[in-house]
Amino acid sequence: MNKTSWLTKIILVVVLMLFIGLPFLLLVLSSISFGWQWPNILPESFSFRSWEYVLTGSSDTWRAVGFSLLIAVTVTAVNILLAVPAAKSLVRNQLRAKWLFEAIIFAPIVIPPFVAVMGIHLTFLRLGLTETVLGVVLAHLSPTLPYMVRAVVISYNTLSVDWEDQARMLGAGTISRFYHVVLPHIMPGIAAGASLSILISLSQYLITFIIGSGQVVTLPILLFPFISGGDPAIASAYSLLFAGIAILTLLGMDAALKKYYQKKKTATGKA
Amino acid sequence: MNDLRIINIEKKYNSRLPKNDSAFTLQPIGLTIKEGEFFSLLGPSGCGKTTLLKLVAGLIRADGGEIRMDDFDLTAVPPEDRRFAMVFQKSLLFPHMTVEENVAFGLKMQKVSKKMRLDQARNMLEHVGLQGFGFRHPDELSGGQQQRVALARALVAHPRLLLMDEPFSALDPSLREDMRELLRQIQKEFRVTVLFVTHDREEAFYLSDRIGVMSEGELLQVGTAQNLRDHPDTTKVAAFLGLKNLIEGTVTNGYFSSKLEEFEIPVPHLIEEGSCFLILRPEAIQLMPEGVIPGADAMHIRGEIQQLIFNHGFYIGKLKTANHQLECSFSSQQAKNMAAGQMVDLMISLNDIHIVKK
Amino acid sequence: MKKYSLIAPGMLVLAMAACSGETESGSSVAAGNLLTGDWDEISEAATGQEVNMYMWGGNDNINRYLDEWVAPRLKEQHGVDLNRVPVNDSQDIINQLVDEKSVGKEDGSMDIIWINGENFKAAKDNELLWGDFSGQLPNFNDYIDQEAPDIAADFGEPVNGLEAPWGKAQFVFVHDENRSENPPKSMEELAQWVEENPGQFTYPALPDFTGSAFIRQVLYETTGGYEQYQQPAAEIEDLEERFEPMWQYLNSIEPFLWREGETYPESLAKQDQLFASGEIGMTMSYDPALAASEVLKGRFPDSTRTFVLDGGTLANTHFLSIPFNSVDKAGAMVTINELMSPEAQTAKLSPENWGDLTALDFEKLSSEQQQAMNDVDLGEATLPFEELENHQLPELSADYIEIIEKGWMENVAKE
Repeated sequence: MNKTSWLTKIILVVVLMLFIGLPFLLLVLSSISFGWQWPNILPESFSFRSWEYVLTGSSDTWRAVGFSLLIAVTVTAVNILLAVPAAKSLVRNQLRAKWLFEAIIFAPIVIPPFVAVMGIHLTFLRLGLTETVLGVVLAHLSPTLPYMVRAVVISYNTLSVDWEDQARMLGAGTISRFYHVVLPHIMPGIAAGASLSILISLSQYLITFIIGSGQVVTLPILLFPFISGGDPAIASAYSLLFAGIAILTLLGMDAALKKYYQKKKTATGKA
Repeated sequence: MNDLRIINIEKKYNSRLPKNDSAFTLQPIGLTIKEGEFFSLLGPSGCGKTTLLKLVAGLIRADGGEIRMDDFDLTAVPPEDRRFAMVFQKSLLFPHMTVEENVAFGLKMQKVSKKMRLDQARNMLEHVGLQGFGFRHPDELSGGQQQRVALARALVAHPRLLLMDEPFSALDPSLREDMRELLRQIQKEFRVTVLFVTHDREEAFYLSDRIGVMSEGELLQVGTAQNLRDHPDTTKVAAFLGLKNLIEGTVTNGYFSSKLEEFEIPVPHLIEEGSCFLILRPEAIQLMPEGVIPGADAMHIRGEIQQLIFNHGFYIGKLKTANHQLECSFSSQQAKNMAAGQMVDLMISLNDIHIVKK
Repeated sequence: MKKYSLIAPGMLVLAMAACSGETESGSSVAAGNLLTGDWDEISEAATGQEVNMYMWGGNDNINRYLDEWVAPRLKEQHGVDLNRVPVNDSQDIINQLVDEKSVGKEDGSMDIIWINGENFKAAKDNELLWGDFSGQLPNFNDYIDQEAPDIAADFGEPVNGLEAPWGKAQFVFVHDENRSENPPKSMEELAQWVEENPGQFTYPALPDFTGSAFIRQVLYETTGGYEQYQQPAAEIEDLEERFEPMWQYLNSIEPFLWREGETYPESLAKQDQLFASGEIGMTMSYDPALAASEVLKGRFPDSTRTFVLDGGTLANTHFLSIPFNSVDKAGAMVTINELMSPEAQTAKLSPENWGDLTALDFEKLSSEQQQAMNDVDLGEATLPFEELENHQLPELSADYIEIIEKGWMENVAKE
């Protein structure tokens, strides 16, 4: 048994390296390559031009990173506030036109964002929400909320009403029931939805550009012209930075989640 | 006195599914459960007993009627404020809390200080035989242990009424008996009023002071176990209590005669005339001693033994008379001299027979 | 919940309205005078303004030129803050301005936009541009040849002072000197070269901008010059027949292209990547100095050179304009004027900064200024100034470009 498990482990690691490690390595090489002619496997020499541009100087990268994170985190927080009650009523209430509500909530996944964002732009212009972080946050809700709701709905589906009834019969009011019974149960769903929400928000270009009108500069706003403009070195450097930020954010969320569960556990253990 | 009074409570379910046209209705029910009483609702699944329980709990809103405790109207009080407790079929222990925390949950909701509530929780765990299990998590316990924790959790805050919805039905039979015993003990000890829902008549008979038999949204009869067995009001009750040997017939002029006139016996005059059923309890049917002729106070039955089945130290005999299939019970001693295919003479005292209206 | 969620944006709207009210009262007085007033007044009005310049942001050299060369000088000399906003596609800017116009937004955030060709035409047709401002700029009056066809018209569309020239671009071919010593000098020679070097040549699939320019280049050479196309396309009745030799030419070289012409690179960026990696021997650019800057970055080999055809290559001018709803128009004018100064244009010419050809008329510069420009080391890969100037052909108007792009799909890509 040990032999086979070792073998599968090795194969897994190799496959992971091939599919995740290698592209990353290529990005790293591409970001620091200087003269990379065709049959050569490695670049002739290296240059940190792209990193120097991305990390220092006037490129405003860190400001953009700050905005990206601020927007992603706010969007996710708002998503949680909206998705939890939405999921609850989708799961618990026997709505007559449930499919209609679901269709409306999940529509942004199906409808191309470009179509939606043009309409949003006109409305937000009238409301004076363009060029503001608030406007961008609101616009980001449309591509992210469906995933959040989906994830929380799945969690809610596995929570029988009996649990809440049980808590009720033990004297728990609405808030206590939510905090002590519902929240711990749907937390994994919230975490999954939040990860998606953060990643999707972080990677929005078109919506951010149009609603932010260039006044809300996030990382993709800086990154996209380089991808389409054909400077692979800088595009690679930005992409790596982007991936790094995304991974760090997810790790941070994971740590926060662990802390949440630990708090739950120690609270019991100490007593 | 903290009596629970259920006054004409009713509930209608409009069927939402177009296929299922039998909308369920709980007929108005009136009932008083005395303080400290153990009251069971007995009935087949779907009879509305759980609905009634949840109406009392407040988890379902009634369409009419009142729930009163003492003289306070609780109908509009939300369940979390009624100071009731409930044990469900599943233990429903909160998985992210320890056993101790689970038990202390109700006290926590009442804002009892942490030390006090944990002390009481441990104390209660001792009562249900789970001393030292406090730090474990629910998933580390067996099904029976989990249900004990659920019981402890329900009792720790001294509820005015303990509602139990088939709490032992998911357990193994032997475990179920242990739990029955434990519950009986604890109920006596804490003198807690219990409203218990079950479809298991043995369980109901064993535990209850009084039993309410329900069927199709109606409360058919309320009484002690003895009372119900001996004097079921209707055949439905009799059937659900598992009474055997129901013989259809009519009462005319103080005489009951079975449909095919095989049996004809005098009945007390207070029994109304009309179609009815004669109930012969198997254990009341006696083997007729050799040479004895049954008197006027007994009924004679002759039939062929078809089958003898051993059951808990006695034998169930399946008997075929001219027109009926009857069941009677024999001691091992009596059964020794019997065999299938043999004709036997039996008798039953008229005091032991019971007639119910159709 | 619903109520609260409405209050937040509501308050924001109020705040924004308050802000915009302020800025309007500040600048509207001047706005009317900006198109007629004295430059000193404009200059004064510009002080303290923050100018948002929306421009394509995919080249670090260009970005740095604006952020590190232009912006500090503007701040120091005129008290104007320049904020460069990176754009991926100028089309997005136009779409945004159309939306802003349709809801009557008067306090737009765009002060300067970098456009030409189709985008200029779209902006002009939709009245998205502010007005005839370029005549107000001292550097425009002093150094620009206002009569030159490529200044007065933008891809055939009369400019009418709505935009001011910033620089020029010219179509060049890019090759590796070590791999092909004598580059072709005409389309005929190019066809020969392609046949002799199978798999070494290709062009970006239309509607890529540069690929489309290459086809126009073919059009000029195979159908007898550009002059015949100076009138609107609709007025030429036998246009299809005239185009026929062009499609024949393109189909005749197709079998010898990269991957036998079965597929074309989807963008110039892809094609440059092929050239950079040595998979093909020739690429092209509408920026004559781009190759030199790619050599500096180490992407293209040192032996990279550019060349033009004897019959000349397409050239066009790119412009800066001010949208109708710019809040800081004075600042925008000062900034554009500064970008057109001989110093800024000389710096822009250097491949280390950008390598973009000047929009100024060389003849109008003082001898020192001319000297300064000549002293700029364009890099070995870039052709001398003069050679480029002497081989410029005017661009076609947008209606032709559309017909050509459609025709290429039907006549070349499909077969």
